Amino acid sequence: MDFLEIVKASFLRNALMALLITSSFLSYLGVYVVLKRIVFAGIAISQIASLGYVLGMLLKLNPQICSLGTSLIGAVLFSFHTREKRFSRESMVGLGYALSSSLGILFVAKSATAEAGMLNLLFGNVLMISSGKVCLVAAISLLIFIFYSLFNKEIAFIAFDEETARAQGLNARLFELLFYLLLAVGISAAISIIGALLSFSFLTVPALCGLCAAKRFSGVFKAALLCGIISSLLGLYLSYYCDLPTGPAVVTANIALFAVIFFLKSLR
Amino acid sequence: MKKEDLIKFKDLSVGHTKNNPVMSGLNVSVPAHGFFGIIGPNGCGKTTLLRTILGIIRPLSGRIIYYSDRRNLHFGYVPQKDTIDPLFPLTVTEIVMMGRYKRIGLFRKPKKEDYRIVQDSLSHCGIKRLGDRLYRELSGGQKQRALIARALASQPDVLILDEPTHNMDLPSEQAVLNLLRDFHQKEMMTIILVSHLIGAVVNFVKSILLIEDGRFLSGDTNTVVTEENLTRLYGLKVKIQEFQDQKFIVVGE
Ligand SMILES: Nc1ncnc2c1ncn2[C@@H]1O[C@H](COP(=O)(O)OP(=O)(O)O)[C@@H](O)[C@H]1O
Ligand SMILES: [Mg+2]
Repeated sequence: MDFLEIVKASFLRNALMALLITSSFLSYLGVYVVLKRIVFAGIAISQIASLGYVLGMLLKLNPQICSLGTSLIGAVLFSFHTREKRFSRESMVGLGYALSSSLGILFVAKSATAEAGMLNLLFGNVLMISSGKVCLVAAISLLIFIFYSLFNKEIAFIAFDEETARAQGLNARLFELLFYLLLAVGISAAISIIGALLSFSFLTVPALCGLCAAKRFSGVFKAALLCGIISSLLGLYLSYYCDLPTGPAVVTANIALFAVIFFLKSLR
Repeated sequence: MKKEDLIKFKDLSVGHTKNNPVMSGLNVSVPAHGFFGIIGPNGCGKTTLLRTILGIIRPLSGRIIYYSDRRNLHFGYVPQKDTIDPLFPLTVTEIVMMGRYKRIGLFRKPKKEDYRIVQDSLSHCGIKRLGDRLYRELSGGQKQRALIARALASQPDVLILDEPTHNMDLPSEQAVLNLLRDFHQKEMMTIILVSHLIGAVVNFVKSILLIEDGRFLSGDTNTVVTEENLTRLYGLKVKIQEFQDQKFIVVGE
């Protein structure tokens, strides 16, 4: 089947749209996640979002909303800087990860449907996406890009040098909180579509590609976006063509792309 | 309050937790258009004091009195270099532009005028040619100049620098201090400089606050920095040698 035909088939069109949209906002957010050295917080939030999703299925509530709820709570907690001297912030993020993954497994232990849902959440099922979901991620993606285009310079300043930004009177706490909240919104929307594994990869690997390929700060975002999109297309094509699961195919394509960029860059 | 004072600390206590001040009972004035040095060992609370002056944290008790309205007083802050993450691929110009952000305001982009001010700040600091270079690829002295240029770009009334010569080789250290002395003398800018080495800055600062073990000594550099005072403050035999109008502080006989 050739690529144009893929675009024509409606379920594939939805998959393609969903992949492209989620990969672009996650790749963009990922640049900050990597630069702020909070990659681990990214994986923890996606785990917490999965927990919320499972909880929603068990309690017969809307899983999407429950997942949003738990991930927002996690985001608020992670956005606080604790002054705890005996252990690092990173280790609290680890605790959040361990807690949410073990609770998730405990919750699904008694329910076969929830267990299937949990597996779905890990790897996603991009080929089963409804048009409604595509609209949802499109809206969320729009929200994220509007926020970042409005506060572009403030976010960069605070991420780079929070002390000086605060000395200039910028409300760094508020921006930090908004940053984490948007990250949580993005991740919780993404995991129900492309799964926790792929969401997390989109948060890290395209940013690495961008940092490797581009020389300038603004270029990093563009390059990351482009790499996210290319690997989505490549992964989806491979998964369809060779009948492989989409999520892992996209992740592998993404990492292969990173390896190529890295290799080409170190030649020079 | 004397008219020539710009900032005055009154029974000031600073710190991060209420019951645990890092510095307390501070009564000192920073003269307007002065070159003020704050000297004390690592961990004595110098950075905490600066953060309090800047309004990042509140005083635990006591007051900071600003001679002009705090809102009208613009501080240019040069943080400790090692608090800045070298991961970000930002150019020197991009970083210096950050100094303009407050004046540019939310939702707005830098204008021509802002770029001109950034260029001026760069050339003031002698790094005009480094504008397009990545900050993380600069030497320690060049990084420090970039951060000073950023503070200047905010067109400050007071320049506040935290350990600007820390971890620097001798020529870079002298170059940065000479640069600051120039700003002070030519532009009449008020400068507050923090250092943990008295010997490095004693010949540059006009007035001084010495911190040691919870005790303070402050005033004009020439009247404060004497052999008796330092010997008493540090509990060490301190000698001061003068050579070509420069003070050299020596410990021991
Ligand atoms: N954000 C913070 N929260 C709590 N304690 C802090 C914080 N920053 C510094 N401290 C503590 O305050 C004391 C003074 O630190 P600091 O002002 O950085 O000293 P200096 O700059 O003189 O080396 C130290 O004991 C330090 O551990
Ligand atoms: Mg300090």
